[in-house]
Amino acid sequence: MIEVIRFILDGLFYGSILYLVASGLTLIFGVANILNLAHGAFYMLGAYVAAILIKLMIGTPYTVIAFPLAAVIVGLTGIAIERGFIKWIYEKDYTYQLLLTFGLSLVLSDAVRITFGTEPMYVTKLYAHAGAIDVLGNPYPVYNLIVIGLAFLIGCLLWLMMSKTRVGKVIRACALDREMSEGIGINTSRVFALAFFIGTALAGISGALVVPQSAAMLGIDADALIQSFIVIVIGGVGSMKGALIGSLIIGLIRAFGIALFPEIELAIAYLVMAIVLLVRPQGLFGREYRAA
Amino acid sequence: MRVMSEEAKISRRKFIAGTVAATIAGIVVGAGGTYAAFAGARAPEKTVTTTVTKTVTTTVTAASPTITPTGAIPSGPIKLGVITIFTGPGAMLFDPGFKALEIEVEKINAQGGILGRKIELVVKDSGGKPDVCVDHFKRLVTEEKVDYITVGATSAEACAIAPVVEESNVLTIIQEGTATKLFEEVDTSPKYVFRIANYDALDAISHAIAIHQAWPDAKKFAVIGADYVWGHDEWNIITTVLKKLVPDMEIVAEAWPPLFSTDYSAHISKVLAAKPDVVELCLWGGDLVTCIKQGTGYGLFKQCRVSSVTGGEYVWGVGMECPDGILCSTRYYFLYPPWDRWHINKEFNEEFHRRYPDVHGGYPGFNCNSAYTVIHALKLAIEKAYTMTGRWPETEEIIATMENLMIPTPGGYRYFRKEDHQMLGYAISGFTKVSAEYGFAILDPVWAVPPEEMAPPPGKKWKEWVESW
Amino acid sequence: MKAKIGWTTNRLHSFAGITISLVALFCIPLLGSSYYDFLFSLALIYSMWALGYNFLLGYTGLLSFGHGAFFGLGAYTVAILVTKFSFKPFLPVIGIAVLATAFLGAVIGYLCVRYTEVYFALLTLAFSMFFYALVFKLYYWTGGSDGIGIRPPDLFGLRFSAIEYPAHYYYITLAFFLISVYIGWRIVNSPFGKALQAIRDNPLKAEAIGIPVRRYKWYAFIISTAYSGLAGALYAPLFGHVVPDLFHFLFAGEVLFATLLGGYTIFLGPIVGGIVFTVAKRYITAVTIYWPLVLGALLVAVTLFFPQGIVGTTYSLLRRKIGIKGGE
Repeated sequence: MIEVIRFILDGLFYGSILYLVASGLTLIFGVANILNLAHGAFYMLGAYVAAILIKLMIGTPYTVIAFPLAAVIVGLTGIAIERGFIKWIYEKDYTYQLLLTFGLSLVLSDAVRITFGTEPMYVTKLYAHAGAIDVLGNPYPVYNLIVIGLAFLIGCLLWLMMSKTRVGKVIRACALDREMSEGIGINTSRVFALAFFIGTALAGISGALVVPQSAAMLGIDADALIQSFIVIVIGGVGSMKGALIGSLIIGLIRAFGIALFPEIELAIAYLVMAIVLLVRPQGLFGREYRAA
Repeated sequence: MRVMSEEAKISRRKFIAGTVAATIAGIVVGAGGTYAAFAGARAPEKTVTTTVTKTVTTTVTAASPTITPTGAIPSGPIKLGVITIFTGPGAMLFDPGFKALEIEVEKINAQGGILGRKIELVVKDSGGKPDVCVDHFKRLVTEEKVDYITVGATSAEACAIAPVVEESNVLTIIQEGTATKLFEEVDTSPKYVFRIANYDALDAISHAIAIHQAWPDAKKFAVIGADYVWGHDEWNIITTVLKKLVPDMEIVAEAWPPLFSTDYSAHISKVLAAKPDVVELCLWGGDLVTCIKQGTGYGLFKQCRVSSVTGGEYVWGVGMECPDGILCSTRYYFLYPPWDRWHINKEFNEEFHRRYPDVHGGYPGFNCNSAYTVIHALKLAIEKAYTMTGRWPETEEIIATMENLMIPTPGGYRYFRKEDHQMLGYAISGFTKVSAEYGFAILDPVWAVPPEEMAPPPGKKWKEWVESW
Repeated sequence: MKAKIGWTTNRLHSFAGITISLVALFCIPLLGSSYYDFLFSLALIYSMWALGYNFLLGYTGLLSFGHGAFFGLGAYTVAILVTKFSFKPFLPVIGIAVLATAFLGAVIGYLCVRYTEVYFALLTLAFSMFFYALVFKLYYWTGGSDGIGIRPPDLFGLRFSAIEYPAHYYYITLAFFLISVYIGWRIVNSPFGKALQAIRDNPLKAEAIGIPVRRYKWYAFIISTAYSGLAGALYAPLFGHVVPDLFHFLFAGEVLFATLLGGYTIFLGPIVGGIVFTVAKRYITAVTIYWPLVLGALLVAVTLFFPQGIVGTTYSLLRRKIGIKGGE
């Protein structure tokens, strides 16, 4: 019984990180119709930036600011990339966006390596100081619980923004029908930039939250990207609700899979992705899809 | 070497006979000295807390004394091709090694180089990809026409490049590339390929021996290992050795996270549930650090004893939060041999720390020791061959010298084996203990397992050898 | 992707061009250094790979991230046959590799071609990564991350190592190259090829005039995987070693880049692209440790400013300036 609680918490934790990065990807796709292959690179950037900031601020009570600050920095980088490169291909064929974002992912990853070096960046004191609490007789790290709570909070904020604020409504309008929105006077170009800011900032904070309990390293970008793909396929490309449900499903399957069926961990995720694409390509909550 | 002078050409047989005689003498002296120096460092059977006590003063200068050449030496610099990894996740291993190589080359050049010829490095990045590595090698040989090559390679790259090296007749020294099967299967009678580092099987065998020496009463073992060839192979070897040493041992749990995973919570939970005596962490790099960090959150270190086959190299990353008492092994540890008794190690560490206080925790790791060994082994072999022939030696003559070479390195004496061109050195094990002086956990107490105890004789596969104990 | 395929009406120009290129290709080994034999064998392999890939991208309008997996499949088939089963005859081994890849391509393609655009790309990516995970994990059979070293195959009974005889290997690769280019040219200019272009330009219209869209897409997929399998099969003995990274979607990015670089609007494009990409990549990795940055920047630049690739842009310029190569 104790183990089951622990697996559920582990699944929630992993799902929380996934939710943050995948929701960013799906937001950008939903609004601007761009599948951002450089999304993993933003995640990695967020991790490194947070590592540096935390190292600078550790010991002071301002350390928590490192996380939202890292997110903002990554978001601004996202806008820069969008204005500089991506906006040129909005009207063009889908192949261009894939090619461009693919090239940008190479450039960004290497830029991160050149800036921050090849060694992993470790951050100490934060994870350990959060300590562990007793869950049915066994210790469980408090940091994981904080992350779950944060992801929940951010999810709520996103939902509030999307459904209640004017900005959110404008974003949703653009996502639903770009031409119509332009027609009623919405500056879609600015909306796209905003979507990129929020989307990449989400990737950034996801990467940042991972750092205290592991490290900022090279190579985490490809992994984050693939995992995000799997989540948004299951949840539905373009749907925020789908990203949430999808990441929870993947998180829990993974936690229980490790315990019960350890052999298949890696391959099974891709297989599930393929099966979902074949059986129900719009995922759980995506837009209706007409097959070719 | 391309240069071949007609005068002072000694017959090959005499040359090899002279080399063998000299090196046998050298091995006898060296072995005696080594034994004297490290006999006290054997793992204590029961009391694991005593530290090494025998003091032997060995004053060996950091670089070999320069020999003033008198015979025919070509005038240009020596072109040494270097293929290593600067990009991708493998870079964290090889980048510090390259820095150490640069330091040593600078030092040697400052003292005049090898027999008066400076060393010029031609550096390429393979990114860890075997096809790029092979491509660079071919290019270095045919286009850039380097004299010798050293490769900082992953296991896959080493296996890919060995057949190509043998066809190309260029002396190539692989620094890591520690796949056990390199000399057991891929290249069974190497001619131009040499390897510096203790290979994976040696790490595993010595680690298993250390586990048994440290915790002879342990019976239930579990593993959290990286889910790829290395992780599985190491665990396989460790358990085979343990089964020989502890016949009633059992494996109670196994967890295999993917390489470069960031979340080990589920794996730790799974292993804890089985209540093992010892948990082995077959992980390296950021994976190991992450797992240790997360493990503390789950109380892993309070409930079980923990060991890690190459942990000594990476625990600095956990910083002051590292739990004490983790049994870590490694191929080279910066504090061993202790600096007050092994001058080379002291100088090596101080120079590295002075230049790169932020790289690899500020102190060199086993890649750095391998890099040091590569260039000094080459230098020593060339100089020795020169004293035999009286002129710049040809590649085959350097190879013959190298095959019987013993050389002092920061990590102690190491020597090449003639039959399979594999260099052997001590494997280090120790318990972690947080040190305020260094800002991370060091290994204290620390001891060495000598090659004779852990290395299968050349030609024998590790499995046959262990089974025959 | 509205650019049409342009082919010259000036036969003399094209005949001269082809002859010169052929002579140049035949003379490569005469350059002396065995490195060039090796490099250009690789270049031709990439050309074949890109040529097949362009059946999907340029002619059918489908962008796949999975063709690294088919390349890898061809390569691993050769590796396993020669090394684990000791089945050495060179030509049959290549043949089996191509057939096996095409077969798997048929199965996967059947599933994938029901989708378009981004979903197609994601699906091919998923399958590719699934095979990557499988090859990585089943290390007992596939060597896992260490890969498989390939013993040299036999050609007509004699041990034929690409390392020992690079010039011979180059000519064999050249022979395969010429054959596959010829076959590709015939396919492109057949009614089937024209139908593919119609599908790319307007699938609904194509359906309306009676083209079996989904079936033809499937055929195009199979053809592209056969080419990928051939390229992979020839790659294996050349390098002597295969690793699971071939199945990763990042490796598929290489053929995508090569095709784009040459120009996916023209038949000649991917062929030129394969050669240029190989030589450029080798050169860039040799001179700088910032090669991912340079390659990525190159891809961005080509996408934004020269989307028609080298050949496509050259044709456009020539058409405007000289006006000889007419015909839209």
